[in-house]
Amino acid sequence: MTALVKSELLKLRTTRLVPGLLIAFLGLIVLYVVAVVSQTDVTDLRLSPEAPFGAAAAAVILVLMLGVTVTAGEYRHGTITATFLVSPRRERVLLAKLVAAILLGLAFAVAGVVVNVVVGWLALGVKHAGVSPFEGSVTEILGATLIGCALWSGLGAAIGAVTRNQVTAIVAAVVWFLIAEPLFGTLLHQYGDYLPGAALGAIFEGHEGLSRTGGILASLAWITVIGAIGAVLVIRDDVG
Amino acid sequence: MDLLRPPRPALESVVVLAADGLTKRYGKVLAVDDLSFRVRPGTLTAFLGPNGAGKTTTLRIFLGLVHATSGAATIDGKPYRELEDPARVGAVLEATGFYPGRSGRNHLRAVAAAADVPVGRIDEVLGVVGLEAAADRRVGGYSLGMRQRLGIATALLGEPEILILDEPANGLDPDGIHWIREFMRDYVRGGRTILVSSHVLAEVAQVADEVVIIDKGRLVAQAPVAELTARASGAVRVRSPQADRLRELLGPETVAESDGVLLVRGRSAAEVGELAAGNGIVLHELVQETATLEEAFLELTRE
Repeated sequence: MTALVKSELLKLRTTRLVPGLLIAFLGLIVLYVVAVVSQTDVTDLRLSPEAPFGAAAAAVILVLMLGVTVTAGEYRHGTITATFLVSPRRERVLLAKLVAAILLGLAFAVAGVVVNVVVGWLALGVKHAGVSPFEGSVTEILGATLIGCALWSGLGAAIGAVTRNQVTAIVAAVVWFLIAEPLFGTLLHQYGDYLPGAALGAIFEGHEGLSRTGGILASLAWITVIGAIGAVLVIRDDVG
Repeated sequence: MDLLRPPRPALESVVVLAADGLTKRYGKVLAVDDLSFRVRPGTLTAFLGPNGAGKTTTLRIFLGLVHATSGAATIDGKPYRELEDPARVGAVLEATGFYPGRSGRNHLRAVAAAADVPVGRIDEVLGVVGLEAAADRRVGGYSLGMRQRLGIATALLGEPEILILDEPANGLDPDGIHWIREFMRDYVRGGRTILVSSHVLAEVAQVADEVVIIDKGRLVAQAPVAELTARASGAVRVRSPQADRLRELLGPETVAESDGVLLVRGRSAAEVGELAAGNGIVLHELVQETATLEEAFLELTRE
């Protein structure tokens, strides 16, 4: 299994999409910090010093795309054939891909947190807000960023396994998170808090319906369910 | 004394690859239809048939990529997915399965990592296929021949005892075809086994030991190559101003192709020439045509 995970990480490192996504992810974080700090009053910043540090939550769609690439990307270029020739037990390949997606999501989060802290600190200094990025609420949101990004990437990998098509996966995810889930959420009342978008959102900022821990557990459940559907399809279907 | 004799090997133990009643249905289309054949160890078996005969589907079933509707394709008696060490089987399928932005070396590194093959093996296989100089370039810039070589290098990583090749000569220039042929010849020399598909008999006839021919998903023939070419030796083409007289002498197997040109079956060019000379017939042309796959089909299915 370690060998398969190593192979997956090597494949991802040698694509051009992954470094591209990382640059876009970090760019969005910088943009977010600058926008939040420049548009917020100093008094408000002192009241909620964590505001500029939840930047990754605004860019998670890119982490989801990263996860999608891990599973669906190999179908696009036909490299999945070579992968399944080396390891014909497809469920093991998928598990390795899920682990790789989570690790890479975590790596994105670490890079994001570093950039977020550095740029946030500088921006707050420029504003003379006099708040430190190491206050309790800030470390909490940075910790949530690590877990959140890892799980968003894992969810992307699960969705990619179901569609085995990058574009379909991303379009489906965007339609779900922007249109379908808000509608279902209204219909389902308080149960709407357990839908994937709400659950993953709760990791970044726990809300009255679902705590951070609740969000993590609900997200893991979604990754498991969608990943299992993906596994059934991947194992069942012919390749090529 | 009989008790001391080692047990005779069971039939299965001398078979490396076996298809048994293999059937694959895509909707209403039967791509592979109750196909059974055997590949013995240490042989180069050519898997022949026209385009669309079901060769690629059959090979993909052997490699666990496509599920059979019924029947079984086994390697050493097991489906590919259940092999302890799939790396002992190498496969070269169509030359498209590469990420264009990745270098050839990185492609090999990823496969080697998954197969737990030592990194040093990468330079070895690059050397075998003569791709060292291009190894660090992006695969997107490779020619078809280079991709084919990279495919072979990938297949060789695990030092396989069995190679499965799907139309390896497709799209290659004559140099490339020659190289593949020599490569296959060397490979089986060490007792290893190759199953190679092709729709062009001439590509593999020189190196194959055994031939499996399929058409419309069904087995047409399985025979040693010598037997096949002997049976399917091409016609002799002869052009003569006295074609009609020559035709009478040659008998009913001879057909007139066009004015003054005859196609003679069942006789060698030498026999036709001698017969003509003995009867004072002038010949303008005398050619032994090489057997095409189509002719081999006809010969074999005629019985």
